[in-house]
Amino acid sequence: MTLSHFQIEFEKMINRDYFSDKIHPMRKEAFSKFIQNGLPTKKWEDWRFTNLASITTKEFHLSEVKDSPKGTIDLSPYQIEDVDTIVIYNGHYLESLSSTPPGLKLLSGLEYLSSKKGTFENSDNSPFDLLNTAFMDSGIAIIVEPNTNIKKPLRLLFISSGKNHLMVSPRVHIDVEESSSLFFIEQHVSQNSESYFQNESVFISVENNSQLDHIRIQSNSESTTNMANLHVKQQADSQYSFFQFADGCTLGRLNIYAKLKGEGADCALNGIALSTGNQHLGHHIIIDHKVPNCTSSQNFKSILQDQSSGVYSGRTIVRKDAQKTNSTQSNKNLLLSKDALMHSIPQLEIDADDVKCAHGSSTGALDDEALFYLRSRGLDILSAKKLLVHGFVSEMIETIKHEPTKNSIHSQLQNWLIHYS
Amino acid sequence: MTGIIEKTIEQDYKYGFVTNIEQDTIPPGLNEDVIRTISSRKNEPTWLLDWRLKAYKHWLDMTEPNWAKVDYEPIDYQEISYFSAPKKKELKSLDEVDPELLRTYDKLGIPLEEQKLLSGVAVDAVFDSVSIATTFKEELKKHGVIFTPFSKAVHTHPELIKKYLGSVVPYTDNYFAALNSAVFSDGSFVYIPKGVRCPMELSTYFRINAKNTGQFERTLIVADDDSYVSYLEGCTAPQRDENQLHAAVVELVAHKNASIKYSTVQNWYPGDPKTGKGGIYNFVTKRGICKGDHAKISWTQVETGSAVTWKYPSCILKGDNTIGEFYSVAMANHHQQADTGTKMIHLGKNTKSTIISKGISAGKGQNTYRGEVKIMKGADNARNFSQCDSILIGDQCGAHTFPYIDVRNPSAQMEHEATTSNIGEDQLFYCNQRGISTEDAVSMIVNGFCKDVFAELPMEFAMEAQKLMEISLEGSVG
Repeated sequence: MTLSHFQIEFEKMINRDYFSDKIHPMRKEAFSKFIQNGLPTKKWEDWRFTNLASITTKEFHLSEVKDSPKGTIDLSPYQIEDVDTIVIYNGHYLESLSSTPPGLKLLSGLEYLSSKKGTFENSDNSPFDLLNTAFMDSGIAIIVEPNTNIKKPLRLLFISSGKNHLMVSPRVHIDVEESSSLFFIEQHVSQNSESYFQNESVFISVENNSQLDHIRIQSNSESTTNMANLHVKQQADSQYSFFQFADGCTLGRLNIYAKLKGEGADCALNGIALSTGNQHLGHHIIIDHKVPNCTSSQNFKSILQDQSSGVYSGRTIVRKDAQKTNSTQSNKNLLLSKDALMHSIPQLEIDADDVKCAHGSSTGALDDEALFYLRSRGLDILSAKKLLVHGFVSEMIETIKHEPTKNSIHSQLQNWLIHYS
Repeated sequence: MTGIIEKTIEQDYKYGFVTNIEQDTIPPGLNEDVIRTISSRKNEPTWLLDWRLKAYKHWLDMTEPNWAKVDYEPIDYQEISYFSAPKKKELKSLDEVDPELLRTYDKLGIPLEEQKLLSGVAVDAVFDSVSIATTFKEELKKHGVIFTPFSKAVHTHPELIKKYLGSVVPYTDNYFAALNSAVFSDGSFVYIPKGVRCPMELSTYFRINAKNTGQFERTLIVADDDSYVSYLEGCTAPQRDENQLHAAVVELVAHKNASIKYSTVQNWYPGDPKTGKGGIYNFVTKRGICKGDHAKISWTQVETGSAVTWKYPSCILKGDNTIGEFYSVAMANHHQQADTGTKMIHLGKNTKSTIISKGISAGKGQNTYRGEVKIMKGADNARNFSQCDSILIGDQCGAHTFPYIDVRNPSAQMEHEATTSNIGEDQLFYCNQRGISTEDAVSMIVNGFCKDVFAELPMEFAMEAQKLMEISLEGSVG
């Protein structure tokens, strides 16, 4: 997709009468900034290992009214017990299929904008953030009011479908106000879709003494490109825990920018990426400790088959005043084929002295001795391998607090393993 | 305790003095004529001049790298004088060496005579750009070892120089390597013939002296089949206010079954302790290639000096069963900035590499470990172990770790771990309670922290390194 093509789509966007012109200045500013720098190239340090050919070589179009679903859609393959679901189909909010848990406030982007007195958070961290602001859909804001514990998990289900080479830019704001909590799931799936480009930006604010659990399941089709830009701000004594399970997309890149702004905040980021074929799945994490006494952890694992490739780039920044920071990074990767390629870049940037920071990274194949042990107990080689692969990641899945979600991810893992040979 | 910290942080550079020797310098500036002048003053053959000019042309098209985590005033390459040599030349023995120069070495605690008599170390002393004294020539000659100034080797062994010069670090490699290739002044050339174990540790002391003189050393060490050599390099520089650029290139070639051990103690002037003004810019390209099977290259460095360090001694593990090692202690105090690390490129089967890096940051120092481990497709059963630890002393300094790990072979096993911390109050308390003063305790803890690396240094250097650490660190932790 060339810049001029982006320009054409942007004109279309601006000229749509059903989009409020209140957001137009924001879009225009972001788009002109985007045009200045263009899409990242491999010369950009942060994008060295991300091949954007799946975006640059195709032409994507905005999702139109005609791309909303015709007739009923079957949600049963994505069933997770005991959750409320908001369904977004090709960027269109399907109200009739959606429900929200009691106590939760749901606003459209425009409503959210007016509640924030005409301005909400944007980011120009990367060209894809700018693209999202320029092309964002009508947006969803999830607000948990102070002192509210939302018992039932909320799921955003993004379905990509059709053969129209769509570009969808979901925009989500999540505000978890003081002393409240939420369990939030976002799930990305595809229904017979062809080369689909999703560029999602999520802005999360976790206020004092509140808690947010965030599960992201990315199992888009093999022709999808999924760019996720996740911005997290945490205030004092807040807890944010993130877990991503990714096995979809030709190119899936997760960017997390977490800022710890209040003392006592705890940020735990975890992820599993399973790739086959020519898939490329990347985790690009920046945690910024701005104040003292915060803890953070990163724990990411990749399993790679065939010619697939992966990146873990984790950076922990500890600012000058952020004394007593405790931070860990762990990246473990399993290469199951001779042609797989893994880049691991665990980085620490530390400007305070009284801190404990550690990182570890290891990449290798399955342990021969462990395989031998299992085979000596009568398992055939494939079952033994599958068992070891399963064990490698299942310990992370076990930490998910919501039982039905955990089971659903477990069964996805089992499904993935069926194809492993 | 604050008193102790201040005392250490305020500690001045011990080796800051200027030796007054007549210098033969060409005016500042860089162009083709300057390169021709350098080449003609050294009576270089045409092929070398052509090589320099090619490098210069390439350099003109390059831009200075800016990815390192260091800040410094932009360098005006036209302000630097590219050639400087003490006027006296062609000395046969130490007695002929300028007494002023010998006194300089005395002040540094490295008297040539004593070394000649006691330590069994052959010293090729480089004062600014031209080698002045080479000792133990005879002994080395007996074994067929060539250890000679680079400018001389060009005439005596042109076939070796032609074959190996730029074979590991081509002039196209990077900005500073290209600059060095164009203007390099002198350096050392070492060749160990087949089956020879070099009878002594070889060493060179580098020293930057003349005002406004960049020093562009070029070292080339070739170890032929089944040979062994240990090379020591140590540096100190006098105190002055203008920044001095040092862009050296070191190339190591290890053939089948050969082993090269390269050790460095670097203690150049780090700049004014209070303002960070002055000090050496140390932009060095060091790389070794394990060409034949079972070859081994080991880098050990203790970096305590320089205002800005940009240095990544690397190993290309081309032969099967080759080994690469990197042991480093990097210290950044006052306003020093160090961006250093290594690259291990695994190409051959069963190749092994070990990286042990210890960073110490104090005062307003910024210390960065930047390393790359690449395991290529053909590197079956490659093995890497990396450990990069940092200690922070004081709340003004920074410690950063940027390891890049690329694995393209599933049979490879690689591990990387790193920790960053300060010296624990509980550790100090424990020592205090046993009757050890805080100062001694800190020295002990830091020495323990660096022990893995110091243990790799040859004896002579281990002593110097430990002393340097104590000077720089004593009592600075609280």
